[in-house]
Amino acid sequence: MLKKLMKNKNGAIDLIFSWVEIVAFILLVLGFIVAFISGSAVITYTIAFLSGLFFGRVWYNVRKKEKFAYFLMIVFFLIGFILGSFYGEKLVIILFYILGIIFYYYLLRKKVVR
Amino acid sequence: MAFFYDLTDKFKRYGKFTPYEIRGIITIILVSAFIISFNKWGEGDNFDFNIGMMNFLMAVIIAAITVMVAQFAHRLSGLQGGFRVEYRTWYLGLVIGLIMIFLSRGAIWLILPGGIFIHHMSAHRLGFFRYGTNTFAIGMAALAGPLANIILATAIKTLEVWFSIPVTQIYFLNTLIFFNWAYALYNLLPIPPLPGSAILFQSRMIYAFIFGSVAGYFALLAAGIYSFVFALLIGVVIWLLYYIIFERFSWKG
Repeated sequence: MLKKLMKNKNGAIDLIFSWVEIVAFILLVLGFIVAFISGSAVITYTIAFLSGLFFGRVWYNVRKKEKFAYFLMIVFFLIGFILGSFYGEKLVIILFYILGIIFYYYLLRKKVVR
Repeated sequence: MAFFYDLTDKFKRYGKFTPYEIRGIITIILVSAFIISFNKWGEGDNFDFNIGMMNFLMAVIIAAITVMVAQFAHRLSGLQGGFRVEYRTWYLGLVIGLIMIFLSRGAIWLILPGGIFIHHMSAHRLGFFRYGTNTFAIGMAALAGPLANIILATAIKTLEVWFSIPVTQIYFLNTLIFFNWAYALYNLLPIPPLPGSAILFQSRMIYAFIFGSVAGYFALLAAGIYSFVFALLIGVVIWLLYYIIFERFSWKG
């Protein structure tokens, strides 16, 4: 089913149709790997916050566009990150991630960074 | 002499940093210093705040020298050609560097500081060939920064060769050399907005040679070999390989 959805008539992966799923999946794997490598709770929280900063920028860039695709990517990265993290509280990770997004969005909105 | 007075005057008038640029440069210096001193907060696994702060302050000085040398080189090169140079910090690049330093426990320095933009100064461009803004001017202003870092690193290293000062055994000077090379190499990466991307857009062949030489020298430096001749040879080999593999097929008249 998924294979059918992802491919066009010629059998190639349809990037225009399914780029969101592909990017979200890549981010899921990336989030998992990043969380897996971080060896302690402090590093996990720090990386969650720094990743949040990154997605804060993305969220700011698409603030006047259709946001759902980007929302999906942000959530998929977080899911991958939570699945891969063996240290620290899951709730604190989510909190730091959201804080990172809000912090960078605020900095951009106040024109502290460009 | 007229050239010198002209450049000095241009620098006095248009060389000032804007508040946004100053904020960005300070951020680059602090983040770079944090990256340099990441695994130097104590001896072994024991955390020591005093040692850490000392190392951090030393790293701040190293980063400040390196970043400012590159900044002034960008500015002077741009002004010499009649363009005002603006530096824009790439904050996300710095965030990527921080993520990398945490993940690698201080083993991988990734410094992606930002890029330059040039503004056309109509009066100062009068008489120049190709009056408007062009890729060559941007490329030259972009190249000046990494080149200045390389010259600084080489000048410090030359102290050892000419004056027998054991530069590699003095932590500060050795780190300054290594960081200058790393900063030059990272700035030459062809990722917008880094200066390397401006050189790539100017000429792919020149970029292949310059990046090949700098990366070659950096690889030799990591192996403990200091040789410009070998680095240039590596650059020529990469330049030739790039031409044979890619460039000759991309030009069809």
